[in-house]
Amino acid sequence: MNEPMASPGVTGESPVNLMSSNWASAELASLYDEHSHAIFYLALRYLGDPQKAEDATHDVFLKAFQRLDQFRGEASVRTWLYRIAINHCQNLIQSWHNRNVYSNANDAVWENSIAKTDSPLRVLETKELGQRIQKTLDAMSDEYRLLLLLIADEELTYEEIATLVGQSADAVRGKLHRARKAFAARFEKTF
Amino acid sequence: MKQRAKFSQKQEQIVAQGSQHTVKEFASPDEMLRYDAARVVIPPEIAERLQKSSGNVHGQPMRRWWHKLFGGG
Repeated sequence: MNEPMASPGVTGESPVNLMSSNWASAELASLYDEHSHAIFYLALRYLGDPQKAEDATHDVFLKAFQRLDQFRGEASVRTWLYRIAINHCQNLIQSWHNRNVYSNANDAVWENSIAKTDSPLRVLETKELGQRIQKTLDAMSDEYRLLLLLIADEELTYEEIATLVGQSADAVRGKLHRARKAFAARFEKTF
Repeated sequence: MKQRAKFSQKQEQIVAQGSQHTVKEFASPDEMLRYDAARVVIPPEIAERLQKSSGNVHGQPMRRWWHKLFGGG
């Protein structure tokens, strides 16, 4: 898989500023500039396919531009965009009939794995890191994968994540605890 | 608020089989995913496609939304 990786030391900032004059408005450019990296990363790791993530990011922002009048300011813009992105990605996933589906029971096996889940995760800093992360996430349930990707965004609170996934904050905390253990156990097996 | 990672990210150099490798150590999956996210670059093609696509949707309704959010005339 072709990983859209940055060169070492380069952050994931969008180059959109360089061509903002091509946007229909400065506001749209600003919206994309501020949130596109987070949305693209979610789509990339949730869908597991760079090309599909590219298409999804385009579609999510186009939908957002078309629905700006429906945004009532009750949530942050980032949360609102995540809502659109999650719905979009989940619709795509549901339409992939050939996709392997992992049940929560499968996750439970990994949560109880004998892997050293309390140990730090160590990895050689190579190009394969992204592939190992993707392989690990792909082997998890959609629910755990989504929770881990959302919690990785430091701009989101537990309460916002709970709203996005339609559960209580306490339930999210509990599931994230299990999701982290499952991730660590699976990651150790991806060598 | 989200709980911060207890341990800071450590980086160390090891020498294995005559070649030098950098080992990254992460205290949690959250930390690893944030590191991964920071290394991912958005393909510029998305912005280019979106610039073309969004030309047709920029109109009065979104102006009302932006006024609500940022104020101004």
